[in-house]
Amino acid sequence: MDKVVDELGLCPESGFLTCFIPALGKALVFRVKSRVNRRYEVLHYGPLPLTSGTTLPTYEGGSVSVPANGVIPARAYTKDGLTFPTTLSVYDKNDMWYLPTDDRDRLFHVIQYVTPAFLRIDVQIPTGVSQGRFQKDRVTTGVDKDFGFSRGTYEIVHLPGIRYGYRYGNDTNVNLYTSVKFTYGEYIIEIPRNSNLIFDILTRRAQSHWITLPINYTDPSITRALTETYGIEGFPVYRQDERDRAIREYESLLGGVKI
Amino acid sequence: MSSELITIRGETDGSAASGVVPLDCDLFQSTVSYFRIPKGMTAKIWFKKISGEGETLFTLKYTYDCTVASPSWKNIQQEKLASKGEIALEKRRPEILRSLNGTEAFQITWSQPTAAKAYIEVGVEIE
Repeated sequence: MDKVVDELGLCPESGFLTCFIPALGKALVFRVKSRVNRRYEVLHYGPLPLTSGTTLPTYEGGSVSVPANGVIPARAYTKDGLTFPTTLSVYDKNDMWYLPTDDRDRLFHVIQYVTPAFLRIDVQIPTGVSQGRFQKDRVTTGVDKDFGFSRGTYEIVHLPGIRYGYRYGNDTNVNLYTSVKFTYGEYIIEIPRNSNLIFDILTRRAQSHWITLPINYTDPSITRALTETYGIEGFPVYRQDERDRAIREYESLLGGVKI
Repeated sequence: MSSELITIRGETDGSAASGVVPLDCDLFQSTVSYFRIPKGMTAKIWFKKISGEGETLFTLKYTYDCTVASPSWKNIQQEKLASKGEIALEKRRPEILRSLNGTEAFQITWSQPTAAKAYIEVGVEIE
């Protein structure tokens, strides 16, 4: 049986990648035609983009200044999601992972490793919109709460036209130097045109690397970006006994797919 | 869940015969008198290295609540340097300090019959 991901956790060429969006109950299915950065998947970014003097909230309810660039203060967290600036001539120098909707044939599959690995991480999609939820929408979770975050690593797919903001929390009593390493794949992708294959992938009968995007609240900018980029919001996920209905709908949706 | 192995080090001040070791590490921006274990995680003590100019007793202490004005510290482990020299202690099974409530912390204290410089390194895996 073929592996869905390679030793780096990335999809190999000709593999499939499924991005499920819980809030929509839909998934995007991609075939990886090529991996542009094959053999060069590791990017040592450096410290977290925390600027000296920036004020961060604390777990005690107060606030504290970032004491030096890249240092996360003790008992503090980032309220607003951070993007990763770069000096390279990318589309947006403030956000190296952002792609415009025109770049619909590209996709970033990013696995982030943060040092120290005990820092809390969550992601806002889009930036400013927290996606952690508990008991429907009664409670918003995340790095600022007791749960709703991971620590040390975060795997995600950056879809074009959507800004992602990463948040970090330090629940120790120490000001900590930080560092980020990305293992990423810049994929050239297509959406498979075979509705039977899509159904098999979405019913987990065909192999695909499945990533559930932490989107539990559908901000209008998300659906707009999906439609602009791919022509569809995604493929609804059906039960195995709903094949005929699913195939009909997938055929219809495939008529509007842009890639 | 990711884990991080850090080496926490500290030293006596050479002038007091007892005290709390200021803890330092390559990831720490400044020294601290204790380390608060992230909620739900554990601190595994894998190794200790001690050196010094004279007899020194290092004590690893643990508290359930470092947020109160006067935390109650309990002794977890003690290592004694009998005289000038050094010792290295490695564990096949680590000493595990748990964060049950997010307020737990550990510190290291020293005690000497005569004040002298002494140093300690502790390998801690936060997992």
